[in-house]
Amino acid sequence: MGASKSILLSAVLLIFAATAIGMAVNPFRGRSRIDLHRNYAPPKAVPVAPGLPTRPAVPAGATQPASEPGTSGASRTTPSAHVAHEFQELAYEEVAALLADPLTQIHMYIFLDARNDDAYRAGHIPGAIQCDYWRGDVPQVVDRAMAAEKIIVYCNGGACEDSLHVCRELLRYGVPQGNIYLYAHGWEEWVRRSAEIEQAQP
Amino acid sequence: MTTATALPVTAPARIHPVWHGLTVLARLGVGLMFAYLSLMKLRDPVEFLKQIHVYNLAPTEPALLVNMLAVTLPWLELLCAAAVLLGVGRRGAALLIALMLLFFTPLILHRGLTLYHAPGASYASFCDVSFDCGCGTGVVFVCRKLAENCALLAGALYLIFARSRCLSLAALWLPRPPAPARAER
Repeated sequence: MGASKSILLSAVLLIFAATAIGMAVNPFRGRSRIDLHRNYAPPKAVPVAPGLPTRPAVPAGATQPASEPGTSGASRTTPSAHVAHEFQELAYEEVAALLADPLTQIHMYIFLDARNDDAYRAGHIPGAIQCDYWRGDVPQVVDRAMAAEKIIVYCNGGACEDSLHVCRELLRYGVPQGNIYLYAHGWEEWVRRSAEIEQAQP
Repeated sequence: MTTATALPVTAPARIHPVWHGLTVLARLGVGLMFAYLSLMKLRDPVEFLKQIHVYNLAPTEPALLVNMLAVTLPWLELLCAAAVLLGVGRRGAALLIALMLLFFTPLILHRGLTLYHAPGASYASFCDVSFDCGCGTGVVFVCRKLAENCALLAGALYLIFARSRCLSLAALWLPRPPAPARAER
């Protein structure tokens, strides 16, 4: 009985100590700080706005013929290996065409990188702004997104959902759904197919 | 004249050196592994929080609950690892480690199975499934992670019941535990 009591006591003490240390250290963690009162739960899907251009499903890794960005196709549900979403999806050729477009230079087209700090620092699409949903970056890019004609959001690709979280958060801030584009195959495809990679300054 | 022939009934039982060695080995294995995993999580608690949401570990409302979990759990792991390594409060720490492993290991198995049976998934076998389990080690192969967790769980369960205090800080100031009373003839 005495042994059980001492085991439980030490377990409870460890829990209290961990809580105290965690709460004391958290405010000083910089970008790794967790905002205790923020609900980090990813935003839910929103209904597709009527009249938006759509595109067909693109199998993972498949190439898509180049076309007017975001204006081709027939279906807009689950367009790729990416999880189901309600946004216009861009293929690699379309993203590359938008990057080369002069409108990108005057920030009418902006690229948002939804990956974490380490991944962004290691390399990103040239000119892309880091916008990590989990670190609360979205409010900081809302003004630029509102002023832009096209906002292209990407993360790692595959089953990565961080870009989708950013898209839905932008919607919540009032950015028109028709201006938001998802590059679902994301960084994995970009790094495989493009030589245009920019690295963040340390 | 009387001679002291009978041993006192509370004399500590001798622990075989093999058990001492096994206990130290289990403490090193479990302690070092948990210290490493917790430090990886502490490096970026936001990534850990993200994984908590992926697993749906806790209700999202109130947000404070799940956020506090992400803030405190890596520290709890680190403190448990330290307790096990130093041999102070070892059995309580081992109990917490075992509980954490019993909670998280089925979740990893469930996620592995979900990915394996996902529509369009083309894994040759279940062991080919790999994903970021949120354990602090990034992307891992599911079978390897499950085997690792089972080994850690066995070590933690052993440490709850092991009586050896060999190379423990606790042995410096705590009295030796009483042995089970012997039946007198």
